Amino acid sequence: MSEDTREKLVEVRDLVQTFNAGKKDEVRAIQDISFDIYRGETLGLVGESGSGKTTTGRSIIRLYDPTSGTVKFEGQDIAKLKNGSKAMHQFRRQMQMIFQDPYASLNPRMKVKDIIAEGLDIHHLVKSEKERDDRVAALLEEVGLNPDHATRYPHEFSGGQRQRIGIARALAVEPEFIIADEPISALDVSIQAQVVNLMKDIQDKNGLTYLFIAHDLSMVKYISDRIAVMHNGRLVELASSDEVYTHPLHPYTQSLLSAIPEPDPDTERRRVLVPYDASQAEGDDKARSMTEVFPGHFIYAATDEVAGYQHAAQAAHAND
Amino acid sequence: MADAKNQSATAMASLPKDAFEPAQVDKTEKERIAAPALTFTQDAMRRLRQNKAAIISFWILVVIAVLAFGSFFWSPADPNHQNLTYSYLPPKWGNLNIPGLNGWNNGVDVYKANGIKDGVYFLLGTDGFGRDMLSRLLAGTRVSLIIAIVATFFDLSIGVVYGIISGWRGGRTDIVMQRVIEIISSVPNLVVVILMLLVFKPGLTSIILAIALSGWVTMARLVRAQTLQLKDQEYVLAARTLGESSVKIALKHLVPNLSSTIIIQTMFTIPSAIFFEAFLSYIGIGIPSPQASLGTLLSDAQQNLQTQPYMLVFPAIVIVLLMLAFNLLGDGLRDAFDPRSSH
Amino acid sequence: MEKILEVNHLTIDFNTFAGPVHAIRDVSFHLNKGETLAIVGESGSGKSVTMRTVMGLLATNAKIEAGEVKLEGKDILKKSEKELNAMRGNDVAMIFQDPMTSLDPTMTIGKQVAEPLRLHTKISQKAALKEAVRVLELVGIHDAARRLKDYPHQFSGGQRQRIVIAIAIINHPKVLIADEPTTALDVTIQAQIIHLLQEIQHKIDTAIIFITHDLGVVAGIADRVAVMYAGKIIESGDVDEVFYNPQHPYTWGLLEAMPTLETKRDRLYAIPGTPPDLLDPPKGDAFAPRNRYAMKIDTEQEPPFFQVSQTHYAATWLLAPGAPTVELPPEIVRRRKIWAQKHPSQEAAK
Repeated sequence: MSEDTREKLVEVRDLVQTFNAGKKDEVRAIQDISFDIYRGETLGLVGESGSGKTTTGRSIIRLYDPTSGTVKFEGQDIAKLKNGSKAMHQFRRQMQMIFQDPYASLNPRMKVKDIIAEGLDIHHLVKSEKERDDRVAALLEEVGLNPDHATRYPHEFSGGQRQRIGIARALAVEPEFIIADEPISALDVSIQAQVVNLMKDIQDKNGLTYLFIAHDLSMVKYISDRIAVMHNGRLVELASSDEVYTHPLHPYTQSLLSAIPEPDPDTERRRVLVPYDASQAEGDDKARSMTEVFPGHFIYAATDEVAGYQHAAQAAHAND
Repeated sequence: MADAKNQSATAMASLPKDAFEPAQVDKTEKERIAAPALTFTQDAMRRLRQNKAAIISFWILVVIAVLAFGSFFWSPADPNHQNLTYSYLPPKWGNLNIPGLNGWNNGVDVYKANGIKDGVYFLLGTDGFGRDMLSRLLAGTRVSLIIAIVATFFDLSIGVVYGIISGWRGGRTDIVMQRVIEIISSVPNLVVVILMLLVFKPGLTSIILAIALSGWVTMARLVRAQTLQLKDQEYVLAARTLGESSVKIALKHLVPNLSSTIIIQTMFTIPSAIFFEAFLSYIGIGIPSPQASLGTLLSDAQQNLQTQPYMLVFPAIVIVLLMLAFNLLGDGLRDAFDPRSSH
Repeated sequence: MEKILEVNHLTIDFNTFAGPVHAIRDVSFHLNKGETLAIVGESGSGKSVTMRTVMGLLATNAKIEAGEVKLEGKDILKKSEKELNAMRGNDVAMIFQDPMTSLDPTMTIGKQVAEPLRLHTKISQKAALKEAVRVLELVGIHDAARRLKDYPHQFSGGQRQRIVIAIAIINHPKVLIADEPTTALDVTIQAQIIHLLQEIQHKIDTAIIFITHDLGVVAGIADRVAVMYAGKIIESGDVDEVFYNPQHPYTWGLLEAMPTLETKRDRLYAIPGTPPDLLDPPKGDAFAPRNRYAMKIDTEQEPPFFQVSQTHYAATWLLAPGAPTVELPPEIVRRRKIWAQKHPSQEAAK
């Protein structure tokens, strides 16, 4: 598959996000990352807490103002859009977010139908009360909830149901691109599959593009076409999801993969954890950048490490 | 688990023939919610109703308010009308011979001794100028309640808005606004009122101005702290990603979720404002004579404490009732709106 | 095997304004000395409530309708508050989910780790701190002697959970209850903590109850597994029995809903719907509305426990004599094959 034929929906270039810049408590949450998201694909973004994955999502959707770098959405640089401008208002319809905490992401004082219709009201997408109710009912049905529950309040729903209400709210404005910020990590395992399947169905039906943020690799594989692994505010590996699973090259990715728990006693008993020593692969002062070591497989590496990674990649593929 | 086999054996015996046919389960059954739909406010009111002290306090306040504001339209006498023939009459409730309320004071039937006509009596007695104490008490309570309304008004109009703006805008705006609050609250209220006396005559105006200047500070601080928390809530972030304007976010998301803090804080602002007015009037820089206020009534009564104790008792009871009722109701509302804080 | 903890026919209701919520409905299980029992269930299944009962930490609106909880033969439910205090942190200790909130931020970790020892024994502060150092080293806090005076915020999330474990094990409890101890942690840290629990069990010979919603987490650590749904245990057995020869459709659903590295499927099976509202549990089997194999009897009558082996029970009508053989999901077929390979003789006998 030639990368060039696919349309780039989102292009992130040299994105840097620093909080409290210049002060004592300066936090460099994202340190210079670049990646593309193609139209219609799902890019999984994986990393542990504090890796900067949530910040990345929030910078792209402009909940934060990026410190430097560009974020192009359909060719337009949205990192520099003015808050409150007309272009910004337009952009708010095209990109939406699904949040992590099903308990904090719905206003406890609002009825489900008002939560879902919030975007409809803001962008004046419905003309009458009846049209609004019908649209809400259709959205509830789309996410597998009973439309009769539209007048209830969030606290009456279970975690999985709340997450589906959050999805319906995002879908209401018919976005092209959805950032899902750990949408399943607060849910029970049995409900996680439900939400992942629902997101897949919606993607197939509406031709959506996803950035799917998660802290572990197991579920991400099922929804992502490509996976980017983040650590300490940087991308360390980016490849197709099969490639990341079968031939992880960066030691951090290898460590993450070795830690995924599996519902299989025999595999669990044989599990060997691969420890990760950040000081070796990132910590020294070598200048590193994302380098393509195999077609479509990028690694955060210094120039003298590239050969080693290339060799490892070829060796791994030779065994296929 | 040992009886599992027996259990299953008995269960088997009674199985109907079609037991193992596929079941038709209603689709809605999978997502059923059994609990009745309750809004947050309904739920809070349900908890409030269980709190007897708060409910009694609420009704006491209603009665006091109805009587006090009713006295605008109907009062037993003009609270400021002097009639020296009726000077220092103790309380007398008609011809009911209740000790303490029968017109006797220090072993003397004062009404008889002063030759007051039959059928003339004062439920709460009179003061040295012969003014009806009940009317004065009603008028005084009315002043207290007006102060309460004024304090609430400034709490809501200045305190809440100030707090939301400060918390929501954050950054430099927040820093400046917080310094202003610190300056305001570093000047004691009493000093503010005394300074006002240089410009205004003593009276309701200067008390209201003092409250307008500094009474809302605590509310502003609480609202700001809560806004800082709320603005990072994911539902607020969701509203931002949908393109909602700041004003709308404040009205739709912040205020409803701040409402419990606001209601509870108001319930604690009111008694302190009432007490502030009573205190100023008591020391003579609040409501001036001859107007009645709980503070002036207490101050007048204090001079005659040993001879006419009834003059102190009734205003004292009213002020205690007001304080207690507002505080208990405030506690009850806090427990009802914020159930976690009570445990 | 010696049973250290026995729960029999436990039934608990929560009183709410809308009526009683039947949180625990006739739950029975036991814990053998030195073993690890995993209790698996989604939120609201009653797993945490059961454990709170064992700790004597029920909320005030909870009412124990029936049942007994026997620790070494003595019924905990009949103990006074004083006796319970003597038991908690000594005979039975608990590890909570969130290491951020289960440590006191204003107290040095040395004091916090030594506290249970000081509470339950007449040991000097110095000796207690010495023991604290030993236990902290045991749970993998390096250079513990030097870090006794540090406060919780000076440790990472994983280290804090290690400290919480140290507090729980310092009195060598007979039963250690771990309530989702890894849910709040990153995957790599989770693996380390599970490994640590295993090590500690060998060293201090305690029995562990591991509560989780994630079957994957317990596959490596559990000796036995009990699956809970809607306030009931619906399947229990040895770890291999539950993972390789599961009988209850809910267990099937759970296993199918989890990705494994070996199976390559485009779509995961998801159990449809939501757990039932225990304010008004459905008639018959509580799982029936979400069960693709639901039969008429499921909607009318609660299934009793059917015995599969000496150690393996499941409450599903599919095991009743005369019940039809259903077509198993592919993932379960795969697992049954592994089971058959492991137990060729048993399969032949069938």
